[in-house]
Amino acid sequence: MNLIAPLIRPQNVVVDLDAASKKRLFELVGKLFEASEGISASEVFDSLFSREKLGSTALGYGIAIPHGRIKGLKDTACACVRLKAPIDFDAPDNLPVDLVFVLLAPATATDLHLQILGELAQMLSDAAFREKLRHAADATELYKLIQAWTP
Amino acid sequence: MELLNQFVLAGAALLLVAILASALSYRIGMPLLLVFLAVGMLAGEDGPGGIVFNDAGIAYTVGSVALAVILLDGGLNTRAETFRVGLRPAFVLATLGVLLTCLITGLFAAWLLDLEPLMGLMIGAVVGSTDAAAVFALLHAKGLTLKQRVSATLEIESGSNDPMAVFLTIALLELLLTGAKAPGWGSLLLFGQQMGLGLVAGVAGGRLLVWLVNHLPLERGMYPMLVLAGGLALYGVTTVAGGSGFLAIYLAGVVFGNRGAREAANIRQVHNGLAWLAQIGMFLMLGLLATPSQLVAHAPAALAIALVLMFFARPLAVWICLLPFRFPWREQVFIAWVGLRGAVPIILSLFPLLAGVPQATLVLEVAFFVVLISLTVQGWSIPPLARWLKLEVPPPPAPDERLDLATRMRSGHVLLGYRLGPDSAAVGRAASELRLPGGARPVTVIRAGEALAPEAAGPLHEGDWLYLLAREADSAALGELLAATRAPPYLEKRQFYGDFVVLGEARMGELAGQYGLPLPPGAVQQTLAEFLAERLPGQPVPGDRHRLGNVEFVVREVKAGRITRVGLRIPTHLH
Repeated sequence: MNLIAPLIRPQNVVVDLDAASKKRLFELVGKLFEASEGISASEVFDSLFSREKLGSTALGYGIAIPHGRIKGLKDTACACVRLKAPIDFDAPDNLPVDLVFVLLAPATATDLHLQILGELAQMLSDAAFREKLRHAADATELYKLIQAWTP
Repeated sequence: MELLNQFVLAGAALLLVAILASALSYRIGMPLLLVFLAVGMLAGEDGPGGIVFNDAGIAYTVGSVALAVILLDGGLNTRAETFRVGLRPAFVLATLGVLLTCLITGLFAAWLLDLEPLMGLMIGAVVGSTDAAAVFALLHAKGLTLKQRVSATLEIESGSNDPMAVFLTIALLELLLTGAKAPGWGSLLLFGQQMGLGLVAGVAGGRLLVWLVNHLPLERGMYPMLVLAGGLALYGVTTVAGGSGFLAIYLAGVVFGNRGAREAANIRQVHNGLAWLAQIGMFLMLGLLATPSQLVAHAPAALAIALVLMFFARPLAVWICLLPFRFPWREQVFIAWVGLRGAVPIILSLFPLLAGVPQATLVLEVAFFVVLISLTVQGWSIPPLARWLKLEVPPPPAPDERLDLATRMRSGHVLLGYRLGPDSAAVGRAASELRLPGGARPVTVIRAGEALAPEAAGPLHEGDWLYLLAREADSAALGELLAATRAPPYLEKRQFYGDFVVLGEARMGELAGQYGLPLPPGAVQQTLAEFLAERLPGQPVPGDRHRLGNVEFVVREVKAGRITRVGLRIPTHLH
């Protein structure tokens, strides 16, 4: 069991999302969380965007982990998005990003938030696992892969 | 005639053996210079070679020229940006540091060997400077990339402290020869003359060389030779005029290497080879010169002097010199330990011998022993010590091959080749898909001996060679994308810097809110760069770390003295 699995609802795993830019991606992700967690989409957008201003959350290898804190949020929530076409993310290796894990934490989040971020990064640092995520046939398979992953 | 031919044969055979033996040194980790010294000693009068070589005059001449060549190469490879972090501490170490080391070691030697104080100080003076050849060889050894503050300080120090040791030796020699008991104004004047002339000649000579190289139409292979001849001429002129030729040629190299001269890469490459040749030649010769059987007599005393030098004199001198620069203790320990002695002490100990000072052979024997101990003990232990003190940083991603275009001077274009490793982010993508920084563009992909057009090559494979035409300025960014990581796991970038990168201009207030960090009062309005600069010792360099709450900030990029990018390590990495 990993720390991430319980935070992801099946409906928050999306493949072939059509977003042409980081901004558009954050808007769509905001809507996703609005539906699943009942928080305002614009708040999600603002939170993620202000974090990006501190430095890109892209890790390289086409991966990004945008994250932020949301005041009204009860529990930490995660979404996984595979983009239809990779977008520019200002990554350290300049590669466009196609796999995005979004992590939202309540304003009062503790160290656990950092632990989860670390584990996400660890999961995505595994090249073989990244390829599996990229080649998953649909959202259900992607969801299963994340559930089955162990650190 | 027959005899001369045999000289050539013997010399060539020795050179060949030394070069072949150097391959062995990679295997067993034995310091290279020690290998050359050992080969020389084996070929010498006490070894199976049985060659008798005792001409101090020839040894001194060859040694000086070889040292000048090594210093020139060291200067050519000294990047001006390292001056920002290393120049001031290195300057203090190269002057006051050498003086302190000389005084402590010298007085101990005088007491131990029951010598006149001036004679004891002579021993201190000849072993006073660290060796540029040894330090450069060790610091540039494969797989050792140190924090810039440490490597810059050590390199600039070792390149520039020989003049001080030379000066001390000459000053003491004059005192001994004139029978004076203490240094007077004359010594100070001599110091000013040596350093002043060396400085002026070095900077002016370096500029003149750049001008010559850029304006003279020569055969391509002649440019490195022009630099060599010019450098040695500069060394000679300065020395004859009473200045420090070693300082002059080192500075000329620094000036030349940093003013973007034509054919710079070619010149540097040739000089790199020349420096190796000079090191091999010098250490072989010093090995021949030594008579190990005579060293035994003073071995216990020489060993004691070497130990005092390594464990007391140098550390104390380093500590005092670095006091104003607030170096972290780990870096001080390392700098103290990399007080490698090399050829210079032996060459300097020939001074009193050539001048006919009584007991001069004692100086030579002690110096030789100190060098031997230093190269063995310190040379062997430096890589593990660097790791233990956590002073290594991930090596900069460099291309596997680079070719300067003839028009580089005007256009800045180079041809870079990368062999794609299994973990390269480019593997599996078509060359045209890569978002290359700046105007870089793929030229060809070499796969299984075939040169393919980048569009025709399809997805890149592991083991492909990708050649790009790029501006030199984009080479670092290209490296991030393409270069193979050769680092051991603990230096792997993600492990070392953490997963996320934050900008130096990020506000501390926002960062703290984002990650729940305990901010000290007054830090909310600071940028991360300001916050870190205030808390890090001295000038910030990549690899500097600061822990705040449950995250650790690791400086990742510094531009013109300002922290621009910082790695963020989070608890999963902090054990």
